[in-house]
Amino acid sequence: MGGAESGKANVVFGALFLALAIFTLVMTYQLVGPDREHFSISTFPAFVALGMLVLSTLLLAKGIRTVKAAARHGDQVTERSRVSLREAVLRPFVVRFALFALLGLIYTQVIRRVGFVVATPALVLGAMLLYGDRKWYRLILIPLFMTAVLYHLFRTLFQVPLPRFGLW
Amino acid sequence: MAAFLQALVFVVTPYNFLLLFIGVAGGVLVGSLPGLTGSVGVILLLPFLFYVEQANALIMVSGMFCGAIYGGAISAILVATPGTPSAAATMLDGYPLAQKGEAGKALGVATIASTCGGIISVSALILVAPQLARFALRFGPPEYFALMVFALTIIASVSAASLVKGLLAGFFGLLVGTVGLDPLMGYSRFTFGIPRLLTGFPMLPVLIGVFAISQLLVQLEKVGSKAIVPPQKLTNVLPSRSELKSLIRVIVPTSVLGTMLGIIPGTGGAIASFWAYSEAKRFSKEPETFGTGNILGIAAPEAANNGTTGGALVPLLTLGIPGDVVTAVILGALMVVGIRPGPMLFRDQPEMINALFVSLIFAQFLILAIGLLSVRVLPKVLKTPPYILFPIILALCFIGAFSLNNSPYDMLIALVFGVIGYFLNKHGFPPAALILGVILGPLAEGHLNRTLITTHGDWTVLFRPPITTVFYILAALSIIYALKGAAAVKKRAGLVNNNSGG
Repeated sequence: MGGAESGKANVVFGALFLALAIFTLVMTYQLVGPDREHFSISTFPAFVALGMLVLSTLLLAKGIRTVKAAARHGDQVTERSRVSLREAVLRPFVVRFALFALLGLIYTQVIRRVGFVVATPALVLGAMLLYGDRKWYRLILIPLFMTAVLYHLFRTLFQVPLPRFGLW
Repeated sequence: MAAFLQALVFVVTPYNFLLLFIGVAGGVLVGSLPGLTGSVGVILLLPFLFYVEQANALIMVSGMFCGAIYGGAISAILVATPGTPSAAATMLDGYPLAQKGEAGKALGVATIASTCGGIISVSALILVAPQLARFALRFGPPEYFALMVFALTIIASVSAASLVKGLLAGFFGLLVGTVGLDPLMGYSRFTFGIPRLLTGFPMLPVLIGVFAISQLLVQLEKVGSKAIVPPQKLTNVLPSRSELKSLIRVIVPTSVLGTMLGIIPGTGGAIASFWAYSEAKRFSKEPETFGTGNILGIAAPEAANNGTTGGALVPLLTLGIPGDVVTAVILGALMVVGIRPGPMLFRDQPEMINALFVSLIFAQFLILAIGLLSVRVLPKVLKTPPYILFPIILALCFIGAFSLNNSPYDMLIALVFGVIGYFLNKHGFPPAALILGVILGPLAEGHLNRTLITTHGDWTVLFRPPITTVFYILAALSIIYALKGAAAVKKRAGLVNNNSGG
């Protein structure tokens, strides 16, 4: 990551943490707890929020300084190489990343409705595709085999009440 | 002695020994696979720990810890990719020796050195831990608060690149730990009227997300990259008698070095192994052969990093504070299954501690047996394709999070913290700092509030007992040490840039 890029990342994270710190600090004043002179349930969170406030301000300042310095010296990366980097590496990964998160999200939302036995092979199959497997026989066999193994291990041996399909 | 015999009988029962074997073998497997560390291994073990007795859970976790530290050497030697950070120094001579066609010998030396390092380290643990635990029994809430402050400064030591980012991640972890009911009075904080948030963010899904799922996302970036192929056949595992003699001269001192460094919170296997490597090179008659496949360059880091295992368990078991990332995860895992490491564990459940000591000794011999006997299998293990391995781990992560409360909500927490952990890691915020904050924050707050309640708000009590001063000084030293380390890293990076820039 170049100087300007890391500087921008510092600005983004600094701003995010600063917003979180201010929000937390405001929230600590609204906490309802025991009315004691020497003790409050907001003491510790307020201390944490103050610490975050100071550190995020430092990070934000550092990020702004880095971005400005990079702009003064001119970024070494040309526009063309930046575009090709985006094309070659970032875009395919961003798509895979988004699909991974979506896959996980769908799994956590549907497992109660369709059951472990239906949802898990789909999860493993989807993840195998994301990790680059394209052999159809493996894409069928491994999700089914792994689901059977996990089901027996957790349901039969450990007696975890894994979600079942509603009609069963 | 009778207590030890009792513990021995407990450990050698077929069921308990099988669990220890599963822990160690699982650790070796996880440690040997690049991208998976001891922390991930402990997390993957968690769903199973709910269904065994507490003593067995402790045994399995410790076995996994020792096995993973050793396992890191396997991929370092065979494919020049350290399975764990502590195996990076092993790669310097291990891989060149493997390139010369002596991968078997490199693995054999690593196995022998790891076993010796582990045995010396566990012996130190057995000698030191009970004394330290006895001393720690005198601690009250102010001493514990000071101890937690010291433990939290370990965040600084895991923030090699940027102290500000490390501390921010740690404070974010502390903030995450404050969500839910406050640890002493039971009043809700930051729940926004959502009943599920009353219990806070459960530690297990957070651990699974930050360490395991974020790692799966990191591996997703590498899809399509070409992997180094491990050697097909490994032979001549054992070193010759003369080689063994020279090895012993290096293994013993570096094991002691590793043990001592392991006891100091904030150091860990990576520092120990590089330090041991440089010492072995300094005292060698042929320092120029280091880096070209010298067996002493494999033995020294391996003895040292396995030496840290017993050492790292000293502060964890006796004081309840983690010394590094893996022990932080172990602390979290043990708390999830209801074990609270600390001096009380020694006083109230000595049989569990004795069983742990005995099983740790057995674990070292299991490492020796597994390491020497599985030489033919190891290259095949390293060939496990990521498109099979990581989807299985993903399913295990979700089922592990689910099994805590039988709730898909915990799976969602694991996923969310996985994404957060990935972005933090990607931009230089150490996820270990976040976890240290999540684990230690509620403990520190509990001790602080207890002190303030019993002293009617007298803050000076926090600094009055002499031992608290010692802990605050140690905390300050820990931060200074980390700042110096960060400055050295920056200086080195600057030199590299200047050199590469011509």
